[in-house]
Amino acid sequence: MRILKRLFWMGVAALGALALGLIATRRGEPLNAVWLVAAAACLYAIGYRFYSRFIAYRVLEMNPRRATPAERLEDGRDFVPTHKWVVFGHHFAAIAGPGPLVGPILAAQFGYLPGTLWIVIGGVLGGAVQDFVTLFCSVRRNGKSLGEMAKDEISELGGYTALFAVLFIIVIVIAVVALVVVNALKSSPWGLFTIAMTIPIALLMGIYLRYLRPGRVLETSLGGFVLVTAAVIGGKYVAESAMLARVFSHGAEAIAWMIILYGFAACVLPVWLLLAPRDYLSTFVKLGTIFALAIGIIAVRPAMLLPPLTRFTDGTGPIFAGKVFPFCFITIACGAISGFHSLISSGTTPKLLSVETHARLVGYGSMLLESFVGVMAMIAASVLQPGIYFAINSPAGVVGATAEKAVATISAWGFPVTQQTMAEMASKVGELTLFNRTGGAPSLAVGMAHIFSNFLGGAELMPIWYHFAIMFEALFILTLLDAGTRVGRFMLQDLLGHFWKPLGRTGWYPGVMVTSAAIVGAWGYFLYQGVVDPLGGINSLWPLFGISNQLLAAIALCVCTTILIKMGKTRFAWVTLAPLAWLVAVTMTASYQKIWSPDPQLGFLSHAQRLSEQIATGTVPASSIFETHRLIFNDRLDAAVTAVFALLVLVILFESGRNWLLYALGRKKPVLNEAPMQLSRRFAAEV
Amino acid sequence: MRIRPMIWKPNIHPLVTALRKIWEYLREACGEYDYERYVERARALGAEPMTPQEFYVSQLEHKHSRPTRCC
Repeated sequence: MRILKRLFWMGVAALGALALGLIATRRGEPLNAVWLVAAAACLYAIGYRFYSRFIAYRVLEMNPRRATPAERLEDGRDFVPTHKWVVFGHHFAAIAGPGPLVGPILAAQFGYLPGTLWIVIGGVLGGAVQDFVTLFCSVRRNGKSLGEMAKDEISELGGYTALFAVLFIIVIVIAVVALVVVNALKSSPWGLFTIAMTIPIALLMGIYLRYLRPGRVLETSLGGFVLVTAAVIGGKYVAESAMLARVFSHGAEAIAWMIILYGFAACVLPVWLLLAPRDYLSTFVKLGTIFALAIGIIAVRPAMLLPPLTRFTDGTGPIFAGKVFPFCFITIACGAISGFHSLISSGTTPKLLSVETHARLVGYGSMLLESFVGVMAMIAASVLQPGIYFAINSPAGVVGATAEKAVATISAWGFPVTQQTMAEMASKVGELTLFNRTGGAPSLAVGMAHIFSNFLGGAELMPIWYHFAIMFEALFILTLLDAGTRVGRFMLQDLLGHFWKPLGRTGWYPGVMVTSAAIVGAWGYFLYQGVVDPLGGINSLWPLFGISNQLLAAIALCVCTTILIKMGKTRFAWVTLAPLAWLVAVTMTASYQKIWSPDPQLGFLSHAQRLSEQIATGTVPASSIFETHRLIFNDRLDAAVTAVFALLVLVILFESGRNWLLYALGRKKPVLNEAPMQLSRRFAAEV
Repeated sequence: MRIRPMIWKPNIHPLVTALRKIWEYLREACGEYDYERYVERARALGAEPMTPQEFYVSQLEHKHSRPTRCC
C-alpha cells in the first residue's frame, strides 16, 4: 500500500513536470489548455499533500485535541463550531473576488507563461502559506483580527500601520474594480440593462428575506438567479429596441457617476435591503460560473492562441507600462498572493473552525482553489486571437481612437487583426464595438463566451454567454463595492469616534451620511480620475491596487514571521520570510518605478513633468489646459499614494525586524499571546 | 410456472441520497440552521431569544461591519 502511494505521488510529480516542461518550452504551435490545467492540478496536489502538511505538523505543531475558539467561546452567533466543508465554502466564497479573474487577463499582455507560473508557484509557496498561517495564528488568539495581532505581537505602531493600510486598500480596491465595471458597461445597453435589473431583483429578495421568509437564503437566491437570467435574456430585446437602447446607452463618465450614487445609496440603506441579498445572489452566480468554467475548459480543451511570451515583457505593453519584473507580480495579486485574504483569515473563519487542524484545508486548500480560478482566467484570455485580445484591452490613448488606427498599430506589433474581424466578433457577442474596452472584464467575457458556446449552444448562444459573463463579473464587483464601502465607513467611524464621539456611533444618521460620503468620495475620486485618464485608467490604478494589496500581504507575513519566532520556530521562519522577501522586492521596485521612472508611460512624476512642459511650450490647446492641470495633479496624487504605501511597508518591516533582532540578541523576551491550551470536549472523556 | 416480465429498475437511491446531501450542505452553508442553533444556545444560557426577523437583521448588521468579501 505504501509503495502504491509512493508510485501514485511519483506519477503526479512526473505528470506535473511534463506539463510544466511543455508549457515552458512549447513555441510556434498553439498549446492545449489542458496542459495548463494538468500542471496546476499536479502542483496543487503536491503542495497540499506535502508542503501544507509540513507546515501544519512540523512548523506550527497543530493539535487536533486543542479546543478551538468556536468550541470554547461558542455563543451560537459569532463562535459556532461548523463542519469543515461548510467553513471551506464560506471562506472560498469570501476570498474569491474579481482580482484572480481580472489580474491574469491584464498580465496576459506578457504572454501566458509568466503569469501562469506566478499564479501556480506563488499560490503554493506564498498565498496559501499566508492564508493558512494567518488563520492558524488567529485561531490560537480567539479569532483576533490582523490589526489586533499586529498590535499585540509586533507593536502599537504596527497595529496602526495595519489599520491605515486596510483603509487605503479598501479605497483603492473599490475604485479599480468599479473602473472595470464602467469599462465593461460603457456603450453597452444590454450589459447596463442587465446590471440595472439586479438592483430591483435584490430589493425584492431583501424584502422577501426580511418580512416573508427570514433567513431562507437558498430558495430566495435560486429565485433571484432565475430573475437575473431572465434579465440577461431580456437585455437582448433592450439592445434591439432603438428607444430602450438609447435609454440604457451611456458613456464611461455617466456610468461612473451612476456607480458613485449607487455606492452611496447601498452604504446608507439598511443592510438587509440591498447589500445582503445582492451578496447572496452574487455568491451563487460566482461559484456556479467558476464551476461551469472549469467544466467548460475540460470539455472543450481549447488551444491557447496567445504566445507564451510577447514582446511586451520589455515594459512597452499597451495595457499597462512596466517590465515583467515587477509588474507581472503586482498585476496578479489575488490568485497568487493577496493581502486582503489575511483579513478574511483573521475575521469570521477562525471563529467557525471546530478542529484546529481544519485550518489546513480551509486556509491552504481554498487559496489553491482561488489560484486555479486565476489559471482559468489566464486560459480564457489566451484562447483569444492575440490581435483581438490587444484590440479589446488597449486604451485609445495608446493604439488610436479610430478602429482604423487601432488595427494598424496592433498589426504593426506583430499581432494581425482587421476591422472586419473586430466587427464580426462584436456582432457575435451582441455589442456595438469591442475596441478600447479596457479593464479585463470584456476580454474575459469574450473568452468565457467562446468556451461556453463551444460547450453548449454554439454561436447562437454566444451573445447570451457574453452578457451572462459580464453580469457575473459586474454583479460580484458591485457586491464588493457595497460591502467594502460599508466596512470602510465602519472603520472611518471607529477612527473619527476617537475625536468626536457621535461620529463613532453607527446608528447616528448624520454621522453615517458624513462618513459614507467621505468613503464614497475617496474611491469615487480615483474612479473618476481613471475614467477620464487618456491612458485608460487601468495603467495607473491597477498597479496602485496591486502595490496596496501586496503591502497588506507584507504586513500579514511580518505578523506570521514574528509569531513563528516567538513560538521558538526560528529555524522554520523561512516559510513566511521567503514570500515576504519576494513581496518586499516586488513592492519596493514597483513603487520606485511608478514614482521615479523617467519613462512618462510608467513614472507618475515624469508623466506630470511632460504635461507641464507641454503647457509651458504651448503645445496644449487653450481648451485643454484645465484638463491637463487636473491630469498633472492626479499624477502627483498617485505618486504620493504610492509613496505612502511604500512607507507603510518600511514601517512594518522596521518594527518587525527590530523585534526579531532583539529576540535574537536576547534583549527582549518573546511573549506569545496565545489563548491557553484547553482540551477539546471530543477528547475530554479520555482524561 | 409464470415467468415474470423483466423490468429494469434503476437504483436511484444513491442519487437521491447524494442530492439530498448537497441540498443539506447548501442549506447549512447558507446559514438556514443558524437561528435554530442560536435559540438552542440562548435557551441554554437562560436568555430570551430574538424573533427570526430580529435575529436575521442583527446577524447581517454584524456580518457586514467587517471585511467579508475580498478583491
